[in-house]
Amino acid sequence: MVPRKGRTAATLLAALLLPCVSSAYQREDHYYTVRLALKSAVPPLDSEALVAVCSQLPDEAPELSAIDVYRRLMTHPADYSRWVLTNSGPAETVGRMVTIQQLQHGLTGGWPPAVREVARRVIQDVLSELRSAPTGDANTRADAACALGFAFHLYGDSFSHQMLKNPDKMYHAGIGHLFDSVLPDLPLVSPTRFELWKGYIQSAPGLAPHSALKDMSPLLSEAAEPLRSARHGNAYNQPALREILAALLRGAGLAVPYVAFDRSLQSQGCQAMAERQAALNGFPAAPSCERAWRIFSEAAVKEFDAYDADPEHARKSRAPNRVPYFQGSPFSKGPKW
Amino acid sequence: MVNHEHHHRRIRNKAAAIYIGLIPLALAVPLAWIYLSYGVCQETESPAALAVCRVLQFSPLLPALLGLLAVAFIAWDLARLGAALKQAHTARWEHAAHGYDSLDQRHRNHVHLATLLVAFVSVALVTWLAVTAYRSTH
Repeated sequence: MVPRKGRTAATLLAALLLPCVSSAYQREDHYYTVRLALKSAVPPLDSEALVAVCSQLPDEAPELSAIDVYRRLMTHPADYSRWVLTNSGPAETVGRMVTIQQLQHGLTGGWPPAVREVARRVIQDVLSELRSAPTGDANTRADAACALGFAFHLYGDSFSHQMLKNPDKMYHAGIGHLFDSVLPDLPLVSPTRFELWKGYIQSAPGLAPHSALKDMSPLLSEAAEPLRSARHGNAYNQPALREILAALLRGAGLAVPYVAFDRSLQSQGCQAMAERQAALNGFPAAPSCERAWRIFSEAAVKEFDAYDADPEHARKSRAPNRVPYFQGSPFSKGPKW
Repeated sequence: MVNHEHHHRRIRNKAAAIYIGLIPLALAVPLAWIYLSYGVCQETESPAALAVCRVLQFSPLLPALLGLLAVAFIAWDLARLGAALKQAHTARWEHAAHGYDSLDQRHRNHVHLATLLVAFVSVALVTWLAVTAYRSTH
């Protein structure tokens, strides 16, 4: 018979150490919000579901996940020490981490409205790429749609990765919001953060110019209900909020609003996960992580640079950065990674 | 007759444990905390795990705590030595000064060095944790 204290300790330890099934914002919340934002697009965006899937992919795929790239960097003691001690390091290792965390997750240490503006511009750039893709070329359209999903991920994170205690700054690359644990990703953690999330939800449909789902008031009034009882003991009612989003998607005609990612494929990388997700959702073509990343990252670098170079922008989207962006493919291991 | 060597050996062993173990521990524990917390605490939605994560934010200070404990044990060894020299029945903390006075220079150096090392590591860890926590959230 295990003593009660021992069982309690074991339960707490297991809760901490076991991989958690979790969801800008938590993983599947990216999917729900983007899907909802694009659901009633008029005329319909043919790859709306793929965009939503790819908006979640950067939190799932080890090559694009902010957490995975940081932990990967920790396995290179010399470069990791250099990063910790001097905030610098080679592009091949430290640069990979910084590139993914800044471009994809908005962990720039910059001014949040600036990062949001950059993300909006990236969405417009990638949307143009999607529109110009030949209708009959399923592969090219899938890549562009997936890049659009990546751009929506940056847009979501430009809200959620705004610091809790200093709303004038984004979290920095590196440990991100480690000291605030998961709280920045939970919209109901405080009325202020709920207002921020409302700003995200209300503005997202307008980013796809032909979206007709401009009125988010039913969602917002429903979401205000779990806000009232949100507290630490119920994880700030995040599951209840997610259920509201799922119910709205069901109400909009989706019988199965969400197909969970197959996380057993994480060890095989982004492409395997994308292909599996495409098969599960019945997409005509699976996107190429490599090409989608290239489309997205080129637009992101261009827009971040353009924003920060504009002398009219006194407050920059990124804190000064001493690490060069990684120019290669995040999906290739390279000699040091 | 007081067996000085018995007490001296206890002090030397604890000082050696501090010399050998403290710095590796001070490097390994914060890294292990970052590695584990990064994967779990930034994603979990379980209230229990959230509570554990909150408490574990202080775990990088664990090596400092262990170092302070080791110094306290050295002080207790000194108290026992002092009590033995005074032929007291039970050791008390105030006997530590007498025990320390009886040490030769070599053993005093062990006490000094171990205490300095623990103080340095403790201040370094507290400073690192406070600065990192502040800078990453403000």
